[in-house]
Amino acid sequence: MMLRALLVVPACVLAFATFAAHAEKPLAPPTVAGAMLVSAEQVVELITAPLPPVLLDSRRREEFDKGHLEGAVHMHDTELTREKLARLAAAPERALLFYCNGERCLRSSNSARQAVAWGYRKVYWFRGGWQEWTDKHLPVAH
Amino acid sequence: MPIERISLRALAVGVVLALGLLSGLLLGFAALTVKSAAFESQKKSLARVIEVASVEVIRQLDQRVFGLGTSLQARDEFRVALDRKLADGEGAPLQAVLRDPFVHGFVDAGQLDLVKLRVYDAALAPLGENDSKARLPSGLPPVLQTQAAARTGVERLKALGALWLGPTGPLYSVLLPVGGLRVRGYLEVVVDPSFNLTAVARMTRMPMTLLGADGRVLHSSASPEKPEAEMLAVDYVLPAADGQPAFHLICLDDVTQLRDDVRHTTFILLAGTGLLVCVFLLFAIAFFNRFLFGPVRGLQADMERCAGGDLSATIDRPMLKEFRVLAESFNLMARQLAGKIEELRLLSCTDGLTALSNRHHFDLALVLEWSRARRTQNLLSLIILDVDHFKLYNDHYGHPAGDTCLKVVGQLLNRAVRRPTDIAARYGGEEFAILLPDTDSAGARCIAEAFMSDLAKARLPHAASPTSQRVTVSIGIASCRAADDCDADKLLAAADDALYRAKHAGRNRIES
Repeated sequence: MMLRALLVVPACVLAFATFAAHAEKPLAPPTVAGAMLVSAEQVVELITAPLPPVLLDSRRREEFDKGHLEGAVHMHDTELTREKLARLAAAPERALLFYCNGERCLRSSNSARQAVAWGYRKVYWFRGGWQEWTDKHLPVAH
Repeated sequence: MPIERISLRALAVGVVLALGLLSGLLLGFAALTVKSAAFESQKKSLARVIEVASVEVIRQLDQRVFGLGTSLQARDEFRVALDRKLADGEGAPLQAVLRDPFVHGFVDAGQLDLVKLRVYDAALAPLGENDSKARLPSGLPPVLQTQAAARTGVERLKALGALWLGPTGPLYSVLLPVGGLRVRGYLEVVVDPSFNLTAVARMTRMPMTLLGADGRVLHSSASPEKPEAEMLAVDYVLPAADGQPAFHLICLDDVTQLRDDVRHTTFILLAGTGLLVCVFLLFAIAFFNRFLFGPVRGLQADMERCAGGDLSATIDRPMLKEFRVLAESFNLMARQLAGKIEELRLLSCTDGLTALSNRHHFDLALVLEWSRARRTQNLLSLIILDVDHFKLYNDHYGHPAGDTCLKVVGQLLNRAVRRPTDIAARYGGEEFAILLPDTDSAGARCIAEAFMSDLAKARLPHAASPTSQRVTVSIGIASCRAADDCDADKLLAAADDALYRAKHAGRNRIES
């Protein structure tokens, strides 16, 4: 009996781990409360405007190094703090734009939500992220 | 052929056989259609597979060319060279940078066949190109030119790709903006897509021949291992961006298996349906035999029996609805005919006034009973009676009253005759006869007396009669055992004599 229990528990754990490894990553939320959802074209308009928003790339460092949106600053969501953000955008009126890999990446939505919580009033969220940008063959900075 | 000469059996068998023949023809046609439809369907499916593979190859090609262009225009040397060209028109550095991918094998081996690199300013005016041997018309290809010119705003930042027809064959160009979000110029990367399209053969796992728009063979992986009869050639035309045919991709599919499958399917179709048709034909013939030809034969036999005089013939056998209706009508007709004949028979045997048998029936019955009596050697008696002074009765009371008198006499006679074998008949005028089989003279007298008694009780007045004031009758009885010396005529004559004697003896009496 005990032997059977000892076998069943690791088998269940292994099965769950296998399932979790193969399961598709969850979708990012459709919207982030307080943040404005933008497309790739709107991002271009925003960053080519006279006063562009602060672009925050929430992806991993090695992904950022391979290519990113022109003018973006790397800021992984786990590294985002109020102080770091304040150094980039002191005033809460300063516009911020977050993006990460795409609609299956939750990092930029987390960051955007955090920024809204800290009182930033012009937060843009580019949900399509890097995937949409490169699919549309838009210019990439290295 | 006149319709009268066509039998129902021949017609039914002909229809069934015609149906069988038609089914056979349809089956043959279906077998041929199945074969051509299978090959046509296979061809369409494979054409779609080739189309999907080609589109995927072009998509991958576009990605690679875009990657190449992006990497090149991201290099500092490229930007510096472009700036110099834009600033003071010095083109040598730019030439050198554009030559670099060719010299240093920048392009990954086996991934792209780079043909040309060209640079344009923001207004799409040519600034320079690498000095490769490939000679292309100067400036952007017209298709890209049109597409690029039509773009505005953000769209101008996106890379554009298009398949177009160059002077030596189809080419693929990707136009990338240079300078990031602030476009300072464009880089066009031109590659030969036929190099990549050979991948279609690998993807579809079919030998392929790639032809250019001019029909020139650009690549061929088809081998003459299999005879052409076992290969199905599938042609797909890959169009350029302007709709003109750019490539012909001819893939060869091994159809040995398909041919076997079609043959197998056709055999099953033919055998199965043929078997079904045969079963249907046999069933149809059995059915017609049981419910059509059989009943018709029965109907004919019954009608012939009926025509032979046996009106009791009825048709009662399983048959189709229409024949059932016909049989019922025939049965009804036979029943009604039998009723009418019986009615006529009765009329022909009955006296209209007294409802007794008439003379004709009596004569037949006398001959019949005589024959029977002769066989059985039994006695046969005959009573003949005559209403006394009936002429005077008619004269006195009139003929209607005379008829009534005869009716009453008839009724009394009918009552006197109790056995079913006894026959009472109006013999003529006011004369009656009673034939009594198996009866001796005493028995006959007994019946005669009972009748006279009944007549007396009836008290029918006869004021003109010199015999009595009532209607009376004279009766003669004769009996004999049928033998050669006593025939029916003699019996009749004997009864008549007895009657005569009764008349002469004063009437209202019985003589035997």
